[in-house]
Amino acid sequence: MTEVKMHDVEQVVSAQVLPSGSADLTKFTQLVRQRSPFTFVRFSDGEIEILRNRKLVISSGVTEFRGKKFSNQFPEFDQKRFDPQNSQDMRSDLLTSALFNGSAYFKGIPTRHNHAIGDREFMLRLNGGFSPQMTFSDLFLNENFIRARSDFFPFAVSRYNHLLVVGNWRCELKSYLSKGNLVQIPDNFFATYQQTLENVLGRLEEAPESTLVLSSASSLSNVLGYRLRQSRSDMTFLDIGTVLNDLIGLPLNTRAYHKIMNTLTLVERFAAWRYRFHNEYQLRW
Amino acid sequence: MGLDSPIIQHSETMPGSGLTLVLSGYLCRPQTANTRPFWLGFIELQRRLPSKKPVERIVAHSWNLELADLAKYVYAPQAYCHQHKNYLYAEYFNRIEAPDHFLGAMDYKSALSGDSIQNLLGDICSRIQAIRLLDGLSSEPRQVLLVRWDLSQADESKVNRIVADASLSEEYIYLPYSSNVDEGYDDSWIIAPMCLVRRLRGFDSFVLDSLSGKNQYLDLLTKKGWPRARVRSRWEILWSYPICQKLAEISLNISQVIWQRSQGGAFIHKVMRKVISLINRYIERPPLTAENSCVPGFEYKRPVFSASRALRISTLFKYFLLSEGLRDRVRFLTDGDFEVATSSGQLICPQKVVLLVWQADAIATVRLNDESLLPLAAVYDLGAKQIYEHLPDNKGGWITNALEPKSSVLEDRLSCGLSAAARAGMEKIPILIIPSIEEYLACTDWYYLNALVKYIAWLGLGYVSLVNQRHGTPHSNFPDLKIVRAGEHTLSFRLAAGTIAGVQEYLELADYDLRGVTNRAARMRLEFPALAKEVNLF
Repeated sequence: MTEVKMHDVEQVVSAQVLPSGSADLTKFTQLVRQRSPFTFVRFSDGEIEILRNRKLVISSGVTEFRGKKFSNQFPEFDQKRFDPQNSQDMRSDLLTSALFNGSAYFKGIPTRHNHAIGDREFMLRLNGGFSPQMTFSDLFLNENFIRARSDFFPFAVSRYNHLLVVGNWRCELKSYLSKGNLVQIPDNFFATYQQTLENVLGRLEEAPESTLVLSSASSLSNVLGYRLRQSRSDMTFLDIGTVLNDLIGLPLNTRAYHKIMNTLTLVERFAAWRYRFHNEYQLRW
Repeated sequence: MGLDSPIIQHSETMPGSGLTLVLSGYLCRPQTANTRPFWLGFIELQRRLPSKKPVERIVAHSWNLELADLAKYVYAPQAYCHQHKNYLYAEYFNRIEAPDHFLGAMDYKSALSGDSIQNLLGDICSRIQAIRLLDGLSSEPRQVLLVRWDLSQADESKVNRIVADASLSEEYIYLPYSSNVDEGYDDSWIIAPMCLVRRLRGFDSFVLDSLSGKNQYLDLLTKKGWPRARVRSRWEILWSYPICQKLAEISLNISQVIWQRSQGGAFIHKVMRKVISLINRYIERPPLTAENSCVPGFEYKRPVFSASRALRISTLFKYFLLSEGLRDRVRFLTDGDFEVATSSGQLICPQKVVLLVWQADAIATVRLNDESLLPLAAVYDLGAKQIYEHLPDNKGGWITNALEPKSSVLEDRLSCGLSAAARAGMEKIPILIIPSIEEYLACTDWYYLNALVKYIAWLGLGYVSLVNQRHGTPHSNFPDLKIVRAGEHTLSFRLAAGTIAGVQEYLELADYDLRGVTNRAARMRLEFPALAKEVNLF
């Protein structure tokens, strides 16, 4: 008679709870308070395009996305180009980071408020199904933007003795981030992917124990987060996207949620007020 | 397993580093005699294989001893075993003591749906035997793709479409995903690392234990509640019926047309676009499953199924993976997950052909070496004053000989080329007669062509017109072929395939030229196979 090992069969009885932006940010705060190392990587629409093997171009004034062209006003450091014919090494690494799951490895994915239920389910399939480590790619944005900036990040930086920030070569660390060191990446790292990855990973792996890493490096952050979880599980890695742009010396007016900050004029205040009623503002699973 | 003079063979020398293909099941199902599903499976498999991960080795098991040579010819497996279908599996049945509540599984309804215990054991035993053949390979494979011969026979839905992306990590077990995943894991294709495939070897014993009540399988499925599954609403069940899916597909097509007609800036157009996008979003929403989605509360209300469902491989396979603790290594994929059409497709054992070309030049002939996906035994340029025979020199070039046809009429030119090929010992190699090398290299479906020329070579099929035909009787043994009657535009010697002897036979009908052949054939109302694809092959 086969001995049936009911590993998973009964384990799933742990109840599922629908993720909420507020609760997940609180969970991160608790992890930081306990100095329990963890990783958070974000898979937003650009990463989804790469995972799905679709061409993605963000160049000067023009964005190619899902087979269509749009005009854009992104700054030069936001430019990137993924060509399925030439960038499979990068895509393969991104897929590996999307397929991996672990108890201290949190993945932010597009969800209902992004009108991306299809992408949400796709990312869950790559994860092997829903797990409590799945959260919002916009976890630090939209309704959580102010809380993340004013509470979470200052607290997180204060809890760790060592800080590294991965960002564009133009970056300049300011305010409470100035205690850290910058690890530079070039514009459009896709063109020099392997070399950039080796350089950056080499620097991060040499960091002192329990270093906090804040990464604003587009899709490279996902790969770095996964690699560091494998090699340096003592480090905490947070993919910050553009949430702290002003503190790393980059403009804070390139994304819709940026308008909530620095509202000096009446018009800006009105725009910020209106944004709170936008259907993408509330994080919804 | 009762062995009825099985053919077992190991002949393998290559070290394993790419993809290893494991084929199992029936080349031809017991209730049918045609090999069409086998060929469909071969074509579809070639289309779906990743181009950047070569199939290095193939192992195969089948229940069709009578078709062992066909399997060997088409796939050239390194290790194979073909046996006569074992109808009773006595050694298994002696071990099954069916519990009372399992008797429901053997009812009239399940017999109708084809879920008989023999079918179940047949599919499982074949796959396990094929997996065991992997042990005989000289080195251990890294990643294995397990499929059935009749890949596209049972159900041509998207579930059966293999999703093999060379960029995916090799650590995981990849399985097809559908809305039925809560009930069981579809096993129409499985991609897994060898270390996990080895664990599947115990699946047959596990199935026997499960069906005889020696573990919790039957209890969980029929009484206590099935793990990792949610109770679907009536609406969801209704929505999953094929007719509803078809209606949804039609709605999407209609909405696409309306969308295109609502491109203006007028208010009504904006409203139309908004309404259509809402409808489309609803229709295209992915299924919610306990296996994949976040479904709060599903744990407290587990579904139970009728005992007849116990005879499904998918439910047994799910329970096996859960019991073995392999679920966390499973990743589900759907056909639409990745856009890999440009990086998919790999010929399996490309068939050597003889090419007879009506018009060729030196530059195009050089291109053949690099660009022809099928290996060429010889190329005959029938277009010049003399006929030129190009034979590969095995160094990437050609040895060219000039031949003198009897006269310059087309029939003599073709006949001269065919005779030369026969003299060079190529009687058994299929031929392709093509207007130009450019047209040959622009073939729209190499995977189909490879299958077709293999079919021709296997059967010794004398002549197949490659001019697409709309009318005729569908060919029962090979896809996208029709049996047509000879007419003015049907029998072609500009675009055809066949054997040297087969085409020569037609030529002997000729009064004086090829037109005479087609006229004679039309008068005699000769029947022959012709291509009937949606898109021209050349």
